Amino acid sequence: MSFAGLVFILIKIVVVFALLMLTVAYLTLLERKVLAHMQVRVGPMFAGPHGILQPIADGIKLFFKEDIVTKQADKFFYFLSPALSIVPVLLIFAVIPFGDKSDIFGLLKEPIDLRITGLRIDILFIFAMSGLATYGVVFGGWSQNNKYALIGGLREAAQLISYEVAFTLSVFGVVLIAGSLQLDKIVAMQKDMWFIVYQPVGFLIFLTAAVAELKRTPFDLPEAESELVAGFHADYSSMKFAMFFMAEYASIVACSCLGTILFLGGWLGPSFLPPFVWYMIKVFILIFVIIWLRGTYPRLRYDQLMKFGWKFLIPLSFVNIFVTAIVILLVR
Amino acid sequence: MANIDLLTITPDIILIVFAFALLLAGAFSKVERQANFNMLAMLGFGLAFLVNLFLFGAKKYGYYNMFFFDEVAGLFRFVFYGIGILVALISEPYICGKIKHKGEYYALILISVAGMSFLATAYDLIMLVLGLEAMSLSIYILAGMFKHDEKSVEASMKYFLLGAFSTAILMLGIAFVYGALGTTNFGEVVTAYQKNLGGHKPELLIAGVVLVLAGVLFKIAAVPFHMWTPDVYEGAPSSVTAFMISGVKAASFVMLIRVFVLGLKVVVFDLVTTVMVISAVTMTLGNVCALVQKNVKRMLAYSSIAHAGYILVGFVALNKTSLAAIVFYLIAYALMNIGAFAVLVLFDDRGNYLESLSGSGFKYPFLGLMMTIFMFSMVGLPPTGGFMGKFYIFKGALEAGYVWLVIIAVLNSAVSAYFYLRVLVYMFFEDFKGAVAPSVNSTPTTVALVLTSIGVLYLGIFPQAFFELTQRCMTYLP
Amino acid sequence: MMPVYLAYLFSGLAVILALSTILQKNPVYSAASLIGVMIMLACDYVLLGADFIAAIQIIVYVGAIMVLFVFVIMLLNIEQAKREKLFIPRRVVGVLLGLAIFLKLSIVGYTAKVMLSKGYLKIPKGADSTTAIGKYLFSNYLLPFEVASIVLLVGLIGAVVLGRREAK
Repeated sequence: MSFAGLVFILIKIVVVFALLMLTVAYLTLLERKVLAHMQVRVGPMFAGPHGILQPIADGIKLFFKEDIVTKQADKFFYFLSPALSIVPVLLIFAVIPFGDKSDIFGLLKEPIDLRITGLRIDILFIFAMSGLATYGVVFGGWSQNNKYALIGGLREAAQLISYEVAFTLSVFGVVLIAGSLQLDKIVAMQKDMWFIVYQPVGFLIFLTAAVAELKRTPFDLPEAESELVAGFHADYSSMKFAMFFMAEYASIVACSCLGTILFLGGWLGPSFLPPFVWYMIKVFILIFVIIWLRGTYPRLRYDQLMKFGWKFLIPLSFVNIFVTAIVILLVR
Repeated sequence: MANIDLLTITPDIILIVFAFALLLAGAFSKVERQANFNMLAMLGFGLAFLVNLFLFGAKKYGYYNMFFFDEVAGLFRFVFYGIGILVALISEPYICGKIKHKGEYYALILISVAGMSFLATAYDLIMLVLGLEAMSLSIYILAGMFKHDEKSVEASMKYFLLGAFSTAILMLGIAFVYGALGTTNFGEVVTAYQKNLGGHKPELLIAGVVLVLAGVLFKIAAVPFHMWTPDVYEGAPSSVTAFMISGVKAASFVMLIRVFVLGLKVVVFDLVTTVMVISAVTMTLGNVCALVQKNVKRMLAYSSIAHAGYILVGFVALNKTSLAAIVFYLIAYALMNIGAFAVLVLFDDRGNYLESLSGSGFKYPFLGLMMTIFMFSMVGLPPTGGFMGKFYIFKGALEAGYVWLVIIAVLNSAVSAYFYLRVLVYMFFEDFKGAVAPSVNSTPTTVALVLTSIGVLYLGIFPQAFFELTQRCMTYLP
Repeated sequence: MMPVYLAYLFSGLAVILALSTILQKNPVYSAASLIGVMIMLACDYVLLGADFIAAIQIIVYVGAIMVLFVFVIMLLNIEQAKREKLFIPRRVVGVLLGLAIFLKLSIVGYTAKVMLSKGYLKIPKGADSTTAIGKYLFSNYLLPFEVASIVLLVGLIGAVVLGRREAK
């Protein structure tokens, strides 16, 4: 690879990273605001007009907080876990496209891909990384030598294993239709019709399993505040805590992007708005739905969670794949 | 040439369908109503047997040359299905009340036999490994079926760990062979050997073949891969031990023959010396260790090591007579072992020690007679199948000029008479102590005993026709 | 020649991590080392152009199987393994034999001319490995594929039969 190519990729990485961190920061504000209005409150109001500077204030606060390392902690994994949880999530953004080839309003001579890089196995790469992301929570929970955190980590492991299957299977309905594992090709296939029309059940399974993978209410058992005092990150503070937090919100963004690309036609839309705007609108609709779920649903009990995953979601996703495959076979 | 040939694998499909049916039936019925599960399993084996009878004699490649059905495969399928029927017969009275998962028990036996059958028809190293694993995994589980018996659990664990190691070694060997030849398919070995290697044998190929041999010898239980045998055979439920000692032994030898005589025939003559040494050591060690055993199951386990040594003589000789003799011997061996274990099974494990068998021969004359036939056959005394099996094996070895090996084997047979006949001494020349009594519902086991004893005697008295059949089937060597 | 050096790096790390797996006293560290081994193997697969296998390696082994390993280790709260005496006289024979076989195999493997270029399984030009694997699985390797499913089923049955608690 040439030097210029390397610099070019680096620029892309920096841009994506900056945008992502900005989104993540304001996602916290969005969540607080949405929840507040659902509960007929106003949410943060003081830092800037309508609390617009609140994320920055939070960031500064977290940065200067005391970094606590408890005596009984297993130091190696205690330090490693926050990184283990955020790195895979960031890596997912290496393959997520944000738009078609574009010359960015005529700024560039040649159109470029609006993504850092593409693989031939985009989707599998994403699953691989989401599998790796588990370990941050699991080892993080274990390393604190604290029973609440340990239970949080264990719950996370069990939950991830259970819902990863349904999550993966739900996506493979789309892969069957598209016949490709490449995200940009999948979006291109949706020119005439979004895949949510062909895969409504797949989309619902995807959304449910994604919420479970993200440890969001109603599936937030690994960090259930009321019983586990914040679960796997009970002892963490300062930037280590912030890294767990960022990982969580970044994976919300990643899941929403993936859902948009796979089911909602990605950046495709009527031409009165530029593709990137369509893309952002769809992503934020999904993010809003995920926050909305938090505002409306109570937490499941643990056995309900397992039963729902294994006895309902996984069989349903198998049926979905089976039906999809048969229909494809008959149509072609 | 897709040649997707469903007809030829129909017997195995039947077995697997019956296994599924048993699994479901086991899940949805009460334990008390599962008494006829062995009938269902036998029906499966019987159907497979019939279909195979219909297929027998054809030569067919199938599934992109993944399997090759020939007379050897057909013959071994008969052996496996027959063993399946006999084991299903002796199981029911024995496991009744001891095992709550009867559906799984019979299903695993069915799947295991299907695995053996895939092993016998394999024409590719990949198929071979998968057949082997389908067989072995089922048996690891079957060995641990008596969950409240520590020895059974230990047997399962030991067999599983060592078996997993041996499969890993086998896989490494296959990887080496694939690396050297660029193919795993038996049909392409010779071409690949001449075209890719130019007729040379690089060390990589030899190393791979030796590793594959090690994996196969583990299943055969040949020295130095025999350590697991006594513990596993002793600890496993007796019906499962009967299955292992007959079925797995036969399957391992068909694997040996198919891999090295049919598949990698370009290297087989490089292995003969190694196998010869192993064979001599194996029979000697098996017999010497069996001399001091007080437990009949353990004694039979060591005897199975010794018999593996005898059968390996047939592989060393590597001519048509000796290979046919291997098949003959394996059938006789399966019959006499299942028979001997049927007696132990009928005593419900209370007669496992020589002491406890005291005097039972005159108290239960039928069982005494049966045990006599089987022990005579084990020693290799006429007029039993064991004698004719040894006779043919040694004949083959003499034809090939391995006089010394035959002398060692005959001496070993003489030694083995001591511990086999000691069982009979205890049964007939000691006073009955009331330690054993046959279990109540013994009809199926009795049927199995009658069948096996007739088989052993038939093979001993009229061996000619059957031996000619095996010779006609053994087409791998001119 | 960059990929070759990378291959040595990843394989070397895999060996070190594998050693760490068996030498660590703390089972959680052992499991973590094993995860490292799996990831390094996946990196090697990528260098070999088998990206599909690499992804599956991570998804299945790291994302599922090792999570369960770690889960069980944590759930049972296994105490740190007691440092057993490593050197028992009779082990010397085994160690020497093992080393000899290891050395021999290493030499054989290192000096071997691997025939992969002449092998009959090839990824056609222009196709990716995923498509090629899919085609082979449903043509040449159809029967092994089906038999593999039986083998997995047996494993499943075994887990249920042996793992289930029974009332006495």
